[in-house]
Amino acid sequence: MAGIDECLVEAMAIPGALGISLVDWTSGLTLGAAGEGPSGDHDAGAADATELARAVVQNPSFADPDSAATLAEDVIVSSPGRYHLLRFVEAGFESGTFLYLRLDRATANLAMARLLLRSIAERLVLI
Amino acid sequence: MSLQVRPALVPRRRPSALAPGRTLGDVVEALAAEHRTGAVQSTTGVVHLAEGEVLQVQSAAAPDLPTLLVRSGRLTEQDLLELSGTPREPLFEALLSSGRIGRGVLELCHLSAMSDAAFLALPQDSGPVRFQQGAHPQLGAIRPIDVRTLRAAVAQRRALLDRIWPCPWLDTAPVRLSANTEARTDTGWSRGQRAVVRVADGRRTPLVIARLLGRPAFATLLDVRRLAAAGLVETPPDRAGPAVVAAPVRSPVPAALAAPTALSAELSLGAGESAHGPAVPADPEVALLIRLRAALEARL
Repeated sequence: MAGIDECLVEAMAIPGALGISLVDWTSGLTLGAAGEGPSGDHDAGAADATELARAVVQNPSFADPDSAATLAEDVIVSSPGRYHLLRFVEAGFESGTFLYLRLDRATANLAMARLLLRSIAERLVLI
Repeated sequence: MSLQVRPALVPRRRPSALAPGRTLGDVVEALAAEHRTGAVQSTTGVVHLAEGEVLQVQSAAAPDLPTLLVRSGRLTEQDLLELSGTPREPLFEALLSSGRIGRGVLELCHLSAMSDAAFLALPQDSGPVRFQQGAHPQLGAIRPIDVRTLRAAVAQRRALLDRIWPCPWLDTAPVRLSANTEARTDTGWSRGQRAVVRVADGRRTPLVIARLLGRPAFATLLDVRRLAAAGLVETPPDRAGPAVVAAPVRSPVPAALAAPTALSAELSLGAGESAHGPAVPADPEVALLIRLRAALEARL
């Protein structure tokens, strides 16, 4: 059963992966990281991604209409050169965390990366 | 052998917003700078250090790791009893080797519990502090964290609360629902917010509600501020008045809530050492909080 670091290493094997971090959106704290952060700085990237995650978590428009209990699963941002993929981690004790994966758009497959990141997020909180 | 750490450089006869004294966070950061290993105990919590890094933070007002694991349905209390750690095999190792919990979950849960306790304990005026050199946490050690990083995270969380609804006194005031809240059927509430609304009876404070629900204290404070911002929870006027005494309203928890008497026996350090700190809180509201909590615990 994988710990945080093993899951991050695994995420770096996703085709096109540039960097990955596990971030607490309530505090902006980087709980773990692998690969390169944006401009070489995982912490600055975590702070920016935290703003994005909060905007999604704190606004009910992004939850499913019938139930606020079902929150957003992931956030995708694309720029000409990059994909930024945020995946919320559902641990059952309100950990308020998400995985933040940056991908090189030239080599990444967004649909596949999203599925792989989902499976890693699920494995992180397995059992 | 324990070492007495002087709580403050300045005599604290007259606590005021101008001379607030040292916080537990200040004391821990100073010890961490010396790469110390051991347990720091104050009236607001216990912090374990190893080579200057934080291994664990405990606050009587925040749910600990076993509580979070049980409340999330990942373990039963029976599991915990069977696995209860020994000095040779601390709880972390026992949990992992039992195969009943994954390392990822355990690490995340540990970080959550530690952040929550740090949020409550570190910003508090430290009061008298004891440092037990070489003491190790009973749970064991996983994912140590730098004390400055932890303090920055605490500050970020406080800023988040104030961004949502800048009324810090709501953190310690009884949660009173607005007149029309019961009738509101909006679907925009989260599960946590619904839980808070369900148990808010006009007397329970956010921390009492958090304990009742077995939820992290910070998550509950966040929900209360969001409910207040949405007008579903009343925002009483700031009783301390504007900018007269900053210290009491700035504190998320009355210090006495985490007084030594409230710390469980396993947390108390060095048998035979007398407990410092006020046994009877001077503030009648704090006394009421403690009575409320005692009553709640008696019913659990």
